[in-house]
Amino acid sequence: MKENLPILILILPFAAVPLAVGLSFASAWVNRLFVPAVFIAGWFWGWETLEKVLSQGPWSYNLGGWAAPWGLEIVLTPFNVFLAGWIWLIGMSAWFYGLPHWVLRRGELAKEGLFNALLFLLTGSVLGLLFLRDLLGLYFCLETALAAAAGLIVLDQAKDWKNGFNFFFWGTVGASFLPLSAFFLYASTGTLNLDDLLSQIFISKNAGIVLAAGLLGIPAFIVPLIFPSPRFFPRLAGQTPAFITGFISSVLARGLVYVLFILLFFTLDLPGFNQPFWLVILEYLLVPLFIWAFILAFQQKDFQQAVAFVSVAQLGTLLIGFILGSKSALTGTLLELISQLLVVAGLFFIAGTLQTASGNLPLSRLAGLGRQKPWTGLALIVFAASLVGIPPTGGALGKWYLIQGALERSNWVLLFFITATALLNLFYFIKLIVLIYEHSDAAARHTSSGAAKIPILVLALGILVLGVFHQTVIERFIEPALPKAFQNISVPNVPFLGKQVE
Amino acid sequence: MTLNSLLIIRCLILVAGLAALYRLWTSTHLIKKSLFWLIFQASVAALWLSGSYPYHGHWNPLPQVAAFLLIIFSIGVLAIMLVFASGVLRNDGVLEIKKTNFKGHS
Repeated sequence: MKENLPILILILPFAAVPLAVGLSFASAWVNRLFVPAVFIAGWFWGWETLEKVLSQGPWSYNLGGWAAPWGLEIVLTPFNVFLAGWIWLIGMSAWFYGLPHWVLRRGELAKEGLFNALLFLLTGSVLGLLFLRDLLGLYFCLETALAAAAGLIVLDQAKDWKNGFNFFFWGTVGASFLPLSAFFLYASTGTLNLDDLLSQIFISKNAGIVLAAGLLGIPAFIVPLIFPSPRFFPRLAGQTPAFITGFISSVLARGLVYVLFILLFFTLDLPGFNQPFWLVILEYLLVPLFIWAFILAFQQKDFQQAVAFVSVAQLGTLLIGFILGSKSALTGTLLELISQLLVVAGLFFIAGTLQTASGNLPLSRLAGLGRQKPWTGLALIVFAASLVGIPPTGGALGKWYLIQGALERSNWVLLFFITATALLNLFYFIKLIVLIYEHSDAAARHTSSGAAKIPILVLALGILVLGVFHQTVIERFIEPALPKAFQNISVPNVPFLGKQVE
Repeated sequence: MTLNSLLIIRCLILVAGLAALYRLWTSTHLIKKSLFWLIFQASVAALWLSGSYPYHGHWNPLPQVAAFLLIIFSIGVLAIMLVFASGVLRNDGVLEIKKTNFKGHS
């Protein structure tokens, strides 16, 4: 069985989907025991896999014995298994957080079963995005993830299905560009395998196809990355439970950023290929766009809306690392990626704990939170500190490496962006601390379930663990995940496209 | 099939795909939007199909398999879109969506 662990890890959440629906008709408690059992099994297998990939290096597994590039290939690396472990943790946190929500609604067992099934489907699809090394496989996983996420958005509401339709429809339209991009790559190389693609492009010396395929693939990422911005998904905060929004934003958007990392630095990273000037300008236009998103976040009077904007704006920090593209910047990006997974989920969980019955959460409701709910207040401070970049949080070290990357490249524009967003965050952070410890008597009584506190504290602890053990995380998981040019491996310097390769 | 005829076929597929993309963008009817997306997706599948070529007397199966999977998968996706559209119909009583600004106001 051990030799088939890669496929078992991937199939487990998909196999749990029909069982989660079926068991909900049998007994609520059987279903509620089944869900953590699946998550624990996933961790157990993940742990065994991690031990193997840490000792023996990346694990390539060919589905059905068909070797890549003909067959589907699953590649497990220390980083993607590590990332998958955090995604399992957030999935289980979302389930545990939502449990009191379902216990109170005793008559909605089928809906609870469907929620669990969609949670597994989304988790499985995101794991597929992390592990599969086939362009069409990525498309099918992305489409499945979009369907599961859209199902989660509309599951617990009966008023506004438009958000679900818009998310699924426009996400699907964007995702349709991925097989189009794959077609262009296949037509010029004859392969769909991500690792094989680069070597085939290298042989064909077709730099134009890299640009065309890269640009065609961009729309596939847009909708999941701008979710849940209130600009594009109005009224989402009042309709969909915050923990569902948080889970989708955290896991799907950040999972796709990892896919983008693989595509940009392992599949389309043609040596000697220089980006055209207009593309560089377009990349730099992202800077004011994300600063604008931060400003919008800080203008919000509702905490949930602010968190929704911040979750999108934070992606700018990750994309900046890709634009810089140096070893330090990519190290910072991958560390920041894991931190953001936890921070975004945690902030939405907190917002869900405090919101009013109508689904709103005015900032004034946070006044005195630190005194009335000290643990929740503390977790909020940890998440905010990670956003600002205050040690010893994971986000602090991620930003530190990003700043180092910008300094190494002498890229003052991006350095300005990173420091400006950190300062904006700091300003908001100070305002938040004053607010939550301002009053001795809480402005509003928070009557949320105590059980909801556990996943919030687990995520906050995760942020601190990432920060404290960042050196281990970087050495064992992140550095082996970087492009070979940034690893201490001797490679021949082959001139390509008339230029010397670094 | 000569290269030129293949080029013409691909151009026609591209025009059909772009027309469907334009219509799905401008249409306000949820069912029509979904159907135009299916046409767009079919044009992508047709492009894949056009990538199949004979090699030692056999047609390269991968583009055909890719096109087949895309079509089968797209029918399922269309069914999900229709479920969401029926949800909108159930709640709002109409399948038309109003043109809105970014803040969701008409």
